[in-house]
Amino acid sequence: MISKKNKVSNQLTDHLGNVRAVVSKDNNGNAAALVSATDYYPFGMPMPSRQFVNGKPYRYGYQGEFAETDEETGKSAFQLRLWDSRIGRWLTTDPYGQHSSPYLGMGNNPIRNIDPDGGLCVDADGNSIPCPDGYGAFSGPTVDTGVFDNGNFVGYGLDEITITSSKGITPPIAVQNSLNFDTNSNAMAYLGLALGQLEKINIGQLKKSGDYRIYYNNPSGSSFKGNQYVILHNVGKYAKIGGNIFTAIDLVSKTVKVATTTGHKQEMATQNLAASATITGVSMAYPPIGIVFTVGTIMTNTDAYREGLHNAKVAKWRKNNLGPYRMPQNLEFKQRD
Amino acid sequence: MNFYEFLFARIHSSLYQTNKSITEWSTIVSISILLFFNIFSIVLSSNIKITPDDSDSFKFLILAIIGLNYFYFLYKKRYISLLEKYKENKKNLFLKNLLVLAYIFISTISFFKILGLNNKYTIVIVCVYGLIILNAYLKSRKNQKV
Repeated sequence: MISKKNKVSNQLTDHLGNVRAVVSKDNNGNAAALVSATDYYPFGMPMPSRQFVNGKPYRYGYQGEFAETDEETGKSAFQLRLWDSRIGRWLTTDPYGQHSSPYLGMGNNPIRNIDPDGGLCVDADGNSIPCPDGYGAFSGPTVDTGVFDNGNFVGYGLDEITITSSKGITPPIAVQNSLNFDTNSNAMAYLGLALGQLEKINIGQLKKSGDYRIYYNNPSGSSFKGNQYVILHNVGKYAKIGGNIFTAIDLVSKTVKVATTTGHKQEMATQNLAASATITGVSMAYPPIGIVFTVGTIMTNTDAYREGLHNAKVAKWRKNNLGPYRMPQNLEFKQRD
Repeated sequence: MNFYEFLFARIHSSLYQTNKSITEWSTIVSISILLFFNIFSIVLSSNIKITPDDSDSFKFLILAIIGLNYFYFLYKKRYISLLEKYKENKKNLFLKNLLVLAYIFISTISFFKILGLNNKYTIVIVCVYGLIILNAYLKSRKNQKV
């Protein structure tokens, strides 16, 4: 309802918000009068002989409040760009790059979708959804295949999800099926999963209409969305397998080192081998140790780590007033071959 | 009875007490390492000269052994039927278990001996392995009681 001085106008819209008719009534006792009436072609062009305007044209038309008719060009002016309803295309490119053609609008499905700002498809209920591009080439989630939470894509609808991970905390059934959730996910939680803090979680069905999330009782209290979780579970599993194989390879290379070194260096190599063999044995029983060992080995082999270690040593010498003239020449940082 | 398969089944059941996520992978890596110990022991005792450059070829060897074991045990989940088979067969179980333990410890100790490792390191490693095996054994006993 729009009030203007003593005049009240009602706009009559269809399911997409197109203003089909405007009825106006003043407070002087006159009968209500039709101000304007318009029928549209699917892409928004007014039908030539089915348009009625009494007086000044109404400011909204195709897609209602989202687009005003531009006075100079006669096009529908959305917030981001102009819409040419005669050819059913935008006049400038898509800022979000949503479709295969940047000029294509409403996902080529103007009966169902609208576009509030000129950049994103929204269905008739006002939920923002990724819409198909009309060429059948869209491979992303649609309302038929995906699960949406207030318009945000949560994951693909699945009939059943079973998540198995290693030992740890199993959330209670009530929490597993809880509809309450937060959407935080952080690096610590990822690591927690990779290190196997979770046992086994079964959620019967991820329904397309519901928001079934899994709770994970980690210190920061964050939770994961169902589908994210399945991927993360695999990441954790492959990280553990990789960690196991890496420790085995490390053991082998240290074995060769011990066998081929002589003299005082062999004792050092032997210590390394003993440590490596112990870690290998333990990581077979507790795979997370393999991951930690692998990550640690890779980190300590980076130039940044070695340079940092060297800088720390130099800082210590300077602090203890050893001075550069007393610094042994061979302690200067050199990149390993 | 295939000793190699029985070894897999025993190591798997032992590791399963503490490692429930990738037990089968850990088992084939363990078996591969034991095989590598045997092969390397033979190579060292046969006076074949090894240089530091051979490190890469030995890495490929362990990867190849893991790959072969993967196709032998894990491919098409063959290990599941194997585990079932050796779970039911409980004839001479004590003797078989003793054989498996002997194989593991003799392989490891002889390998470290041939490598010239100091005794104190060998003892530490063997103790760690022993503790892991003992822990698994105690846990399995506890689970059986429950």
